[in-house]
Amino acid sequence: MLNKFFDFLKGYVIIEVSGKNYERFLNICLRRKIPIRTTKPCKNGVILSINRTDFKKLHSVFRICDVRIRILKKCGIYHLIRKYRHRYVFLLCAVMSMVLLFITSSYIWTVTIDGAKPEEVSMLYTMLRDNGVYPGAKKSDIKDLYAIKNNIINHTDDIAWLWVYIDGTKAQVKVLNRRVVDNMIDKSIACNIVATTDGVIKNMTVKQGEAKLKEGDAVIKGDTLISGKVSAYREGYDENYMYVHALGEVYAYTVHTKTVKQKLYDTVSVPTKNHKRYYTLELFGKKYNLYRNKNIGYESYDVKNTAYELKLPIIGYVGIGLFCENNIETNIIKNPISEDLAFNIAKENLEQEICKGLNIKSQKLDEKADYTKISDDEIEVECTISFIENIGTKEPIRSEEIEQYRDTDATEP
Amino acid sequence: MKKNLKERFADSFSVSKEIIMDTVHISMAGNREIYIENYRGIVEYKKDIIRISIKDGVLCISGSDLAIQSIRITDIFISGYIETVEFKLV
Repeated sequence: MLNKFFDFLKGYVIIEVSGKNYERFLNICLRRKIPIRTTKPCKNGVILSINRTDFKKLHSVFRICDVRIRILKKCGIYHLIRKYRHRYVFLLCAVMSMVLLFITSSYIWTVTIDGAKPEEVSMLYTMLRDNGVYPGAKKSDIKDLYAIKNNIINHTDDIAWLWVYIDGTKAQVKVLNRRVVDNMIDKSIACNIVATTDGVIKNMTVKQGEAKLKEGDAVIKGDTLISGKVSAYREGYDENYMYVHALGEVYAYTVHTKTVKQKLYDTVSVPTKNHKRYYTLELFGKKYNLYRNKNIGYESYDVKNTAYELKLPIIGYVGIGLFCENNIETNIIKNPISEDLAFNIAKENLEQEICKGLNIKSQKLDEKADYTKISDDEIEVECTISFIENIGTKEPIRSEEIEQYRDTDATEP
Repeated sequence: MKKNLKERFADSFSVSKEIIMDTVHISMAGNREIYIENYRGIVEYKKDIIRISIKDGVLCISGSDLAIQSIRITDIFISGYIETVEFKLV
């Protein structure tokens, strides 16, 4: 690849050597240290490529060998310049297009956001615009991407991290959303610990707050397990309450049951030879569909998107791209599977689904699964798993409740 | 066949014969590529046959779509569908 590039810079000539002694011609060239590149035999001789500078040395060789030389093609920058040196309009246009390309590549034409939730996208576009990143903005005006990144992270709650980088004329933003953790409540805020699921309490450890239930009690989802409202007694005074940040662990026996309908066949989509392609041209941030009506018309199909972006070595993406949406027709083939296999597949899926909703430190006790045939090609699978799990989650006490208590407390004599 | 002095020297000292005796060295990648070192010159160059002069005679490569991909004074690289590689000793 690199050799070809240097050859192009130096310039080379593709010639046809014909005659009786073209083999001798090759041998003499080699002995005279004239480098020969790729060769290809033709009807009466051989086609070979040779350096532009070495071509002059061939004059003495072909006279000795009694061969004829015909130039087939001249390649390389030197020949291009020679060819177009008197075409002033062409040269002017070439220079103008280079200047135009340089000017257009100094602006941002597209802004793409990856990884953001759909509801965040418009907000992010607005924030990026406020920070000077928008289609049509001059790249030289965007100086500190680090500051833009920090500014967006600091002014949003759900975004954990963000990357802003500029690739040619495209500003790319990658978003990493914050993982919502239930129990992350500031310790200065008063809260209760409530049940996340139904169950029977096995044991409970209260570190702060007041236990509302005891071991062996049945709880329903949402019940307060440890209250942050603690009664404080002082001799000679009325009953008083203080609000604390409840801390503790409540382990309970829980049962999770889920059902799912499972087909008694496995579907495989096999692509056919039919496909429909729809092209879209992107010119400096604007997209133009190169089709009139989009009518795919296939019953089932896979979509494969390909982007061809024009990128130059130093500039990068220049704002011109072609996007291809290839809709490949597929045939859905149903392979029958046994009831046992379908049951096992469904059971595995149900186990995964149940485990997704579990609290940390959960311990599996028992599992039961069964299925009933509901039609010729479908079964219903029910999976029941019992656990010992920490069912407590923190729920902040409403500030109105605390304020109301304080107000009534203050008015009392 | 009687061995000459150089060949006997190469055998006794376990030295590569191509260095001592200046013989041809051929490497092949399946039947698609052949790389020849220490050749003398090209005798015949056609699509279906390439004959190359070597120290002791002629090396004849026949097949189809044969082409010399690169050629230098010391080595030659041929590609195509090679059917036979034949030594014709003088």
